[in-house]
Amino acid sequence: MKSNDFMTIYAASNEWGISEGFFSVLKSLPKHEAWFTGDATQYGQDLVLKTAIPNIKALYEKTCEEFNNYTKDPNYLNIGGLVKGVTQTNSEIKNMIDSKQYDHLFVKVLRRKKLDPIFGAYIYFFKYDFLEHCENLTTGFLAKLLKKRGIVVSDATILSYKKEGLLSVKENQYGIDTMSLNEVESLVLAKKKEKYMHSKNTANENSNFSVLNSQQQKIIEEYLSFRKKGGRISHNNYRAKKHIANKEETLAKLRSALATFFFRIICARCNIDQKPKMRYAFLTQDEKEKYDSNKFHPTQISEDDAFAFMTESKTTSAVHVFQTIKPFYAWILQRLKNDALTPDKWFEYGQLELRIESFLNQFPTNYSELASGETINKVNKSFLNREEMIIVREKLLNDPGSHDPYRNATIWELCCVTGTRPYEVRKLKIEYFLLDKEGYIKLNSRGWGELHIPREASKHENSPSHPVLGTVIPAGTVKRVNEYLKRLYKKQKNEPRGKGFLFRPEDLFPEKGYKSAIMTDVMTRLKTQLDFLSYEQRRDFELKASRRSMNNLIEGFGVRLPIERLNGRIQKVAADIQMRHKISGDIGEMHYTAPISDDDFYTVLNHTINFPWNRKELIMWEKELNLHSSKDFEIQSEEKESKKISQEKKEYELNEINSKRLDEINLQLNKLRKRPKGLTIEEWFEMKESLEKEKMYIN
Amino acid sequence: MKDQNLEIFSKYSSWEEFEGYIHEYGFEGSIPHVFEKIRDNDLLTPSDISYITGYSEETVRRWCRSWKLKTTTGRAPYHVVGSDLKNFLYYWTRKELIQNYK
Repeated sequence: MKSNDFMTIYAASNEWGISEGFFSVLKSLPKHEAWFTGDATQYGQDLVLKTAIPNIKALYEKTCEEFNNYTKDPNYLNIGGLVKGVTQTNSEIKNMIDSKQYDHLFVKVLRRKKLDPIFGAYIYFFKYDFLEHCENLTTGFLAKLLKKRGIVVSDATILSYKKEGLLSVKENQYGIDTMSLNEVESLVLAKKKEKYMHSKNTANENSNFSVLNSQQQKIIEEYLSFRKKGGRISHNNYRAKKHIANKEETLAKLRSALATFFFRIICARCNIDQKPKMRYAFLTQDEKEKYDSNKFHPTQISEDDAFAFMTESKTTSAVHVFQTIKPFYAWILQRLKNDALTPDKWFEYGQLELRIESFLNQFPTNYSELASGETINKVNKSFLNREEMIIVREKLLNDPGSHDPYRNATIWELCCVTGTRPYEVRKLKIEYFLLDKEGYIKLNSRGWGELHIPREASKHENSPSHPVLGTVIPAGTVKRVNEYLKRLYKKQKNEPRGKGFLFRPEDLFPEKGYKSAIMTDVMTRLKTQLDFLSYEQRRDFELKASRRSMNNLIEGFGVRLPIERLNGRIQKVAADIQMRHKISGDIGEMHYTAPISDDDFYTVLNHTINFPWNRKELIMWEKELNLHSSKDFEIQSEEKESKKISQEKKEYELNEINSKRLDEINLQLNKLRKRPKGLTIEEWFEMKESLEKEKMYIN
Repeated sequence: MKDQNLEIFSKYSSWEEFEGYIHEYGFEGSIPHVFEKIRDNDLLTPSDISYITGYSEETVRRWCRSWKLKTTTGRAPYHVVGSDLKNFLYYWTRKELIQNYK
């Protein structure tokens, strides 16, 4: 006979909707033992106290809820998932849990269905940091943890290293291969460095240089080494610049430009059609068979070559080619002139000079020498005001397609405020800024950041910062750049702080900068969204718009500073210093006047570019200083008119009855935003249409 | 506006701007009925969009997943605002539409 105080677990589970195993879980815990002991053990059946069942039900619901929450939470890892991904067996993990060292790295919830032989009454959920304390891991976990450490690797690359036998492998209890985290990390870093070193050597493999014969290659290399040494080229009235800027980059460009020039003439002589961008790799098989590099020698050149060359190219590109080959041929003539000692050689030299001159004369020297039907594509420059600058920054920050939106936004803001050219941004190093001990940007005594761009990082190596004032940065921008630096230092791991490139393709290598222009793809993605510009301006929008806009903000025609004394000459000089231009003016102004005072320089910039990068605060800031760009006035007056008209309409047209019905229709339309489940799409469209027709009728 | 370079207009205009053009100057060619029937603030599910466009539901979901089609929350269950869908569809059809008003 059963006592009235108890009931069987089977009956209780059916009646209250609790799983049967949950009772056995509770039974194993000393806390809840009292519910199952006492008289209940007499009958040889599993019994439970009737009065305790409501408490058990509440506990069951709570555990179910907790279990669901933790399984959905992406920050936690189920024990089943963990055990398959590590080397440790279940009992070893249980020992780790019991040791109480890792209590902050997991949470435990009561089991709902049955007792586990090893883990007992609890189920565990681990944080991902727990994995760092495990010996070996599987590839999926390795890739995830390395990503947390700032190293991006896919599972497949780790697998390929494993197949090559570069890693030591251990099998875990499920027969899955696991590897050591530190070993994989050091291997991946070493491989990445190796890849970088390799990529540097093969950067120019694509050029046409390799298809030329040895004689042609030799003459180009001799010319380049002469320019590298800083040799002077002068022939007749022509004199080339003695030192070329950015030698490493420009010499490589010169090599490929000369190589393509030779290549195109060879193609013309081999009856291969000229195309806009010619490369050996793009030729068809027949054309490759026709190609013979021995048909051309750099000195044996004629007018026909020039015509063949210019049939497919525009004036602008022809001028560009002319500018590269003019010093090359001047160098050849200069060298041959020195060797022409006998009368025969002198005669030969004279013939050659005539031929080369007539060849060069076929090229247009200026952009003004246009054919009748030809037009030059010009960039439609865009000048943004402060609000538009902020809008562009917001759009860059919310760009879903970009890899690192915060970096893009930082580049844009820095360019807007310092006027750095797109070409110079990729050459910016952290040591050019005024830094504190920890490698972050410091404010000077006036509360501004300072940037000192040296000659070698500037355009044509000829546009450094002002020697005393430098290029100044507002405090707000300094704060945001420092935030970017904070992220960068976290990602770059053990590399020294305060050194290396500010913007890098790979965060781990501070001394490796970009080889070509940056932000181009981001800007093309941005183009369609800039509805405040005209269509032509949108087409040609680029990063350099930031520099143009900054100059326009400081010394544009519409700018009127609140302090009358600063308008005019002082404002212009301040703009020139910040833009790193030569200070303009006549001889007296340039050479015989004292430089601009620091106070004036900082106040001009304070009234123009030291604005808050937030649209609401910007309106207050501009009101305080009485600054308005012409665009603002137009918008304000338009807004006022439209507001007036709409108010009058509302007062005049809407009477009470109509407005009530309108409210109803609007409510119904709002409900119909989503398609109700019973309706098909066509019925849905019809309902909306009929309601909107009625709305139109009332209006 | 009417003398504007058509090529540039076709490349860099959005549906709203094109709609503004129609409102001002009229339009002789035919516009797909989808553009008239969907309102700007409608919320559409992938099944609705697949019925309208003729692509399968999974394809639509892939558009949402790869950020080609803008969604309200960025995660499943996906909901697309009417104006965004129109802009997306306009990318495909605008060449044909713009040829009509030459």
